Amino acid sequence: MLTVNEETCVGCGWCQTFCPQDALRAWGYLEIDYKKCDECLVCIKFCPTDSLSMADVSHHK
Amino acid sequence: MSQKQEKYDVVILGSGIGGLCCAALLANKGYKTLVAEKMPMIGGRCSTLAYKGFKIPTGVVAVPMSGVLKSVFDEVGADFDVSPITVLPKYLIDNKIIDEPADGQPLSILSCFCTDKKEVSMLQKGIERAQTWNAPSNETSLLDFLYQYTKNENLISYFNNKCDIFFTVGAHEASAREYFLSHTGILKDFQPIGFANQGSISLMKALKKVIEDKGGKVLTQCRAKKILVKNQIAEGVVVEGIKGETTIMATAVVSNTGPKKTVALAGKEHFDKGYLKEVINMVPSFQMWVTTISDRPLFDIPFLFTLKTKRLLTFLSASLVSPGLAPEGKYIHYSISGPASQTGPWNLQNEVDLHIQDLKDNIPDFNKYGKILHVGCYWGELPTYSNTPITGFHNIPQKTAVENLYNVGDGVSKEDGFSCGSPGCALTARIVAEDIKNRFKP
Ligand SMILES: Cc1cc2nc3c(=O)[nH]c(=O)nc-3n(C[C@H](O)[C@H](O)[C@H](O)COP(=O)(O)OP(=O)(O)OC[C@H]3O[C@@H](n4cnc5c(N)ncnc54)[C@H](O)[C@@H]3O)c2cc1C
Ligand code: SF4
Ligand code: SF4
Repeated sequence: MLTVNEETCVGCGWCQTFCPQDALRAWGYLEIDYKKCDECLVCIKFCPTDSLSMADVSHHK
Repeated sequence: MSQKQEKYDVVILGSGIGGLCCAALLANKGYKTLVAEKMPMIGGRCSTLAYKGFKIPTGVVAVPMSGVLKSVFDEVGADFDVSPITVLPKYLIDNKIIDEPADGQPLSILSCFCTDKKEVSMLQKGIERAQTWNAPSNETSLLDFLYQYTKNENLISYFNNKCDIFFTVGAHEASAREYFLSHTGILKDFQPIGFANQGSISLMKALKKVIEDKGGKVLTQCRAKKILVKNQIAEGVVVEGIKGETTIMATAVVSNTGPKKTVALAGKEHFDKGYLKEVINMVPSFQMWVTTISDRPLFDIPFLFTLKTKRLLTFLSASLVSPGLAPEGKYIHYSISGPASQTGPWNLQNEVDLHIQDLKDNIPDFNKYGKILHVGCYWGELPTYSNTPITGFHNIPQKTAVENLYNVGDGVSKEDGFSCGSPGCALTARIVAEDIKNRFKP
């Protein structure tokens, strides 16, 4: 599951522009639409503050 | 993990405008140059995000078309695809539009905001004295300086707006000294101002091409992990790319990552206490850029300065200068705001709301035809300026305590004061490139 570190995310919205699924929206903070996100990992590479990561939640399921 | 080793004359960490200008200047003179950039894209805060067919800036929009940045492009033969803004700006104040007088004389501009000729003349003389005779103290704010001559609300709002746009800080917090020194110095480079026709990333691509044509390398997704220092002399870096870690030996290391990261990469034991304190005390500034799109222009001129608003500082109808920033038949606009105080607390959500409220209140066609495409906040680790010229401003020099380790970019500046934005970064790049050329041959 994609997670954003709210302590370091500045809300620049760079990630939003690279998401192929249109799953992100920056509006001061970052909103993630989990229904749209297909975990392609693209946005993680394009976050200038390294605030995005893919948390492994498989063991919770 | 296998450790590869390579050797260069100069390794540059970061592909921001400071890093690429420096790399291009050195590669052009025959230095074997490597640029290592952590992101998959180049340019840092002088780049462009392509989104739904529109071009959104990551930073630099207003490109200085004369002075040091242009001279770097000319010297290395890089393509400078920038169109000048040829139409005079307008000012929106109290729901009225004021045209900038065609003669461009400060006295005529100030007279547009205040009818009391004596007051305007006193103020103008005070400014002239500050610029040509004795600059005010670094501890005096621009507002305190202005209050010596005027309390006129419109005049104050004019200076406040200019200061907030070019200095990213309001008149009550800005150093009057830095403000006036810049106006006779680096800010002159913004005459004229232009917009890059395909977004600022085209300028960065042009520099990258020069570096590569001259035998240098620009690697993306290549993150600096460590600056190697031996006997207080920089001797290379460790970078991590897609294929693992590589040690790169180099005669000089130039960091474009900002002084704070430079210290962390090299190890703080190499720097003296005073320097570390100055680095910790740097004040990064916060600005917000909102991108609005429409099927028709929302304003008839490229540059509108908005005075006495809650937050909005300027509204740029960029398509009017560079149609290539939007798909055919569409228009793109950028608006800028800053918080009430750069040093005081602010709430991001509140800042977004106030910016949008100002658009609704001040740009009549925004409500009818405008659609917000993107909201970008720049602060903290991704600031608008890395070291804002507030009162008491300390400039951090390019050279560090570690021999052959330099900083370039907007976290550092020349000795005699603040060097703002893209021309400031180009200036730091030029100073460092000159120093390297004087110290050793390729
Ligand atoms: C929204 C906004 C609008 C602006 N508008 C203007 C304007 O209109 N005109 C103007 O002149 N200026 C403007 N500025 C200011 C200008 O953008 C900056 O001053 C300038 O771009 C800073 O460049 P820099 O060389 O310091 O490097 P940066 O752009 O900060 O680049 C640093 C690079 O280093 C990379 N990096 C960081 N850590 C590492 C690492 N460990 N390893 C490898 N690489 C690393 C980063 O990814 C980045 O690419 C604006 C800024 C912002 C944010
Ligand atoms: S790119 Fe990173 S810092 Fe910017 S909004 Fe996305 S998560 Fe936040
Ligand atoms: S992981 Fe992929 S789909 Fe999910 S938000 Fe990031 S870019 Fe979009």
